[in-house]
Amino acid sequence: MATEPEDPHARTADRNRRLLTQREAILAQFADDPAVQEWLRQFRDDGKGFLDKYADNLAEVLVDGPWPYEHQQQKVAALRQEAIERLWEIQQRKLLLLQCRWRANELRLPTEFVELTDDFESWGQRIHECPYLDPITPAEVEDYLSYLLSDFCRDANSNLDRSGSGQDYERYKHWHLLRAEGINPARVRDGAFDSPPPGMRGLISIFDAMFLDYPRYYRWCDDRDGPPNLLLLLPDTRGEQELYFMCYGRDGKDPHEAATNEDDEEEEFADARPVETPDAPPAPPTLEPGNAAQLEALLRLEAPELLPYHRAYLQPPVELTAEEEQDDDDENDDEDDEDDADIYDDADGDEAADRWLHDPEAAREAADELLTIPERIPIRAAADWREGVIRAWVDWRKRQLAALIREEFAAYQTRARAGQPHPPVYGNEANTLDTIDEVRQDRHNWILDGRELAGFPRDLNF
Amino acid sequence: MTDAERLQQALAQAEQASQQFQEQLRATEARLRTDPRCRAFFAPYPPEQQEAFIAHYLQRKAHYLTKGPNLLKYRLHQAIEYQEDAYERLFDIQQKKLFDLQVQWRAREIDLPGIRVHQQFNHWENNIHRCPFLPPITPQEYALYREYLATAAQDVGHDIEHGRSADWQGYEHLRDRWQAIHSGHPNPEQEGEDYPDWYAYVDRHLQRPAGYPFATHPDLRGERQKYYLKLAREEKQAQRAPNPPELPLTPPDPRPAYDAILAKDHQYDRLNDDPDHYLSDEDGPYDGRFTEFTRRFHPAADHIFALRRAMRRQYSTHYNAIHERIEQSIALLTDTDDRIPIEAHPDWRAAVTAAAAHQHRRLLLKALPTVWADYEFRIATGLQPAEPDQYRAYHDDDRAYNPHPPEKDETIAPYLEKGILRGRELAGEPRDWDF
Repeated sequence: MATEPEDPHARTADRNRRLLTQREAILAQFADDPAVQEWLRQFRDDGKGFLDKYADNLAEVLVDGPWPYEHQQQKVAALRQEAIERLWEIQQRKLLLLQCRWRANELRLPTEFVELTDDFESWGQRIHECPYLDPITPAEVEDYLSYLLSDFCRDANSNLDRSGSGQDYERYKHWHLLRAEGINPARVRDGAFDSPPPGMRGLISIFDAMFLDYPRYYRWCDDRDGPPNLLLLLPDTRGEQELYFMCYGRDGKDPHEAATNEDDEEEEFADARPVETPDAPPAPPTLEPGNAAQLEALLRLEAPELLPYHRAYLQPPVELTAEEEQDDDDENDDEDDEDDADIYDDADGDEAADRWLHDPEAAREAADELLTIPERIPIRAAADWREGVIRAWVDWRKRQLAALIREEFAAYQTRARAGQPHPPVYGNEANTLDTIDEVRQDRHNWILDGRELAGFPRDLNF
Repeated sequence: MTDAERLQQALAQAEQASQQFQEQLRATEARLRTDPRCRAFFAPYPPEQQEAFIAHYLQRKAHYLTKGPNLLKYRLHQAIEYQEDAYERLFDIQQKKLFDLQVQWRAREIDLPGIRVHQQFNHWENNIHRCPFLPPITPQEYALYREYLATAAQDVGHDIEHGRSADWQGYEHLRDRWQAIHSGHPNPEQEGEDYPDWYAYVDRHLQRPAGYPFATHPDLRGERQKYYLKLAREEKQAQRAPNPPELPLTPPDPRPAYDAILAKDHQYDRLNDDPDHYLSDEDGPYDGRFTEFTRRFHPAADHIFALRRAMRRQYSTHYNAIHERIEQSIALLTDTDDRIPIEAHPDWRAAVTAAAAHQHRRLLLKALPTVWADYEFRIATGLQPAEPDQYRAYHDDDRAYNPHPPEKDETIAPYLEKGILRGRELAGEPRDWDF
């Protein structure tokens, strides 16, 4: 069987067992201690019963306390890690601009730093030791914090993954090109699975669309600096050349000549596609674990009281209707419909975040988080309580992050003044860098091969 | 039974329940695989689908066995919660009418059939639906109540700081608060009870004079009652032989009890409490001793405090009544897809509470026409209105003991009867109720 059904009684029994063990240990620890006896004598009846009660309370703390404690420690650690990554996002943006200029041959970097476009990805992963970036300035940090604390920053909820290294040139360019054409990238992202081409090509296109994104902070900087946007303005000369030589080297033939054959490939795919014939037999019946009707059919064979439980489980919350509320409700429905239609209209590229602000599950999670924070937390007015509660939680989280970013920047400055190296930012550099290196090595060799095949010297001076 | 024994017992019960539960599931799994009807059900499907389905089915059955009964109750409750609530509220109208009658009765402006002492108003408070001398609710009164609920009501029940009155006929409690407010008491909220919002709303609507009822109507009957009882009590005390002062055999232990309340006692959590008071190590009747002992004798005291603090933070709804209410408010708000607005506030908990109160009011207003139609129908056909009992469906199996059954409608407590009648005699007045 896949997973054992949860047995709440066994869990209770386990907890009780642990409470009893702890109790005994605590009583054994203190009962015969003369200092404890002396202390207890200050109370009526020599504090009879105190130790028993104390053992109860302490046992509860020792049994029920460790998980929340660990959990909260982990949350604090995760928040600090996020603050560190955010501080270095400032450098990532600077590196991306360098990458744009480098790709357009606007500037050169020493070859021991950058030979191939892949090297920017690699530097992104170890941004802490990137030697050719200006250090982070206090003004840049202040600007970052204004971004973070503004509503423009929408990636400050732990539920939403922030994008990886920040050097994903091709993906960012794709995002910008779509927007330049008036297409909302979020629509493409959400429709990733809608109608992909068949075969390998389809998989790649799904993959491309799924992660289509551009970091919010980069957008903030773009808006701050105004046009031109280097991603759109500058040509990707180096990238295109690399691709040409790499394909040449990998496939052993000139990609320009091979391009004519691609249509044939398409044909092949088309032929391979299964043809739906009108007489095809109906699909065999399937048994779906979550299927309510199938569950009900089996439940009918059991004790009669199970069926009402099943229906109670399925039943959505009951809405009482009365005439005078009818109009009001209709209006609400209309509004909702409009919202659905409007979802992609602003071409903003972050509708997922907007919808999430009205998600009941997210609101409940935000409330659960807020309930563990023993401070007064302000809330802003909102047309939907869910948005209010979610924003209250995210705003609080942003304020924590801002404080941690300041701390981390102070530590950064101290290290910089002392000439000490900065510690790695992302924690998983070793593995990621290995992968990047492998890919880079292959591409490096193919490019050199391609150079030769195309009649150039076997080097990277193009 | 000691705490350890209680724990042992709980452990034994849980182990037994767990064993039963596991047996039930094993039996179910065996049945799914062998019962011919089940086999017939599974036959058309491939084996790997059958396995996945059986696994899921057992999960689901386990859930139903443990959570089913309460879930079902909750659904029933959910379905009629607001009708029950709204029906009970119809009788707020009657409570106000009864209170005004009580005011007039105390001022000797009127007599009421069967009423001899003011304590009887408490009886009718609890049996308001069959109070014989209250005229039925009129459409105008109903309309006024709707208007009150729609525009003014603070007492919608979901608002922590504005709970509903539970003391509709507590004339003296309401007067105590009124007097405290008007005599410059430093903390009037410590005295008596709040005059219900609905009462004040009706008073304004009827343009009653300022100070109604306590400044406008004397409590003649209440004072007389008290006076007669005092005479009777004094007589009794005079008759009793003076007791010699008792000498204690052993002097009391002068040392304090370890669980004596150390800090201020928290009657209720309030929104304006320190938001982290529930984490405090020193508060509460016992925490201080726990903390002191741990600090003095436990080698890992700081770690224990950290664990306790983390535990209370994580499960704050168990330790803080406000947080518990917030959970209920969130549940109420989550029950609908409608976008319910929320106000800005320095404390998100207050804003959520207010939004939930708004939603509560909305659902009540939605449910009122149905229960009003039911009430009107009963009155028109000569039926007695049903008893308002907010939790009829949800707590069906353990209905509260009713200390006010119909057979007590005409009776008054013997000590009152004897005391007042004797007091009348002692005052040189006739031994009757005509005062």
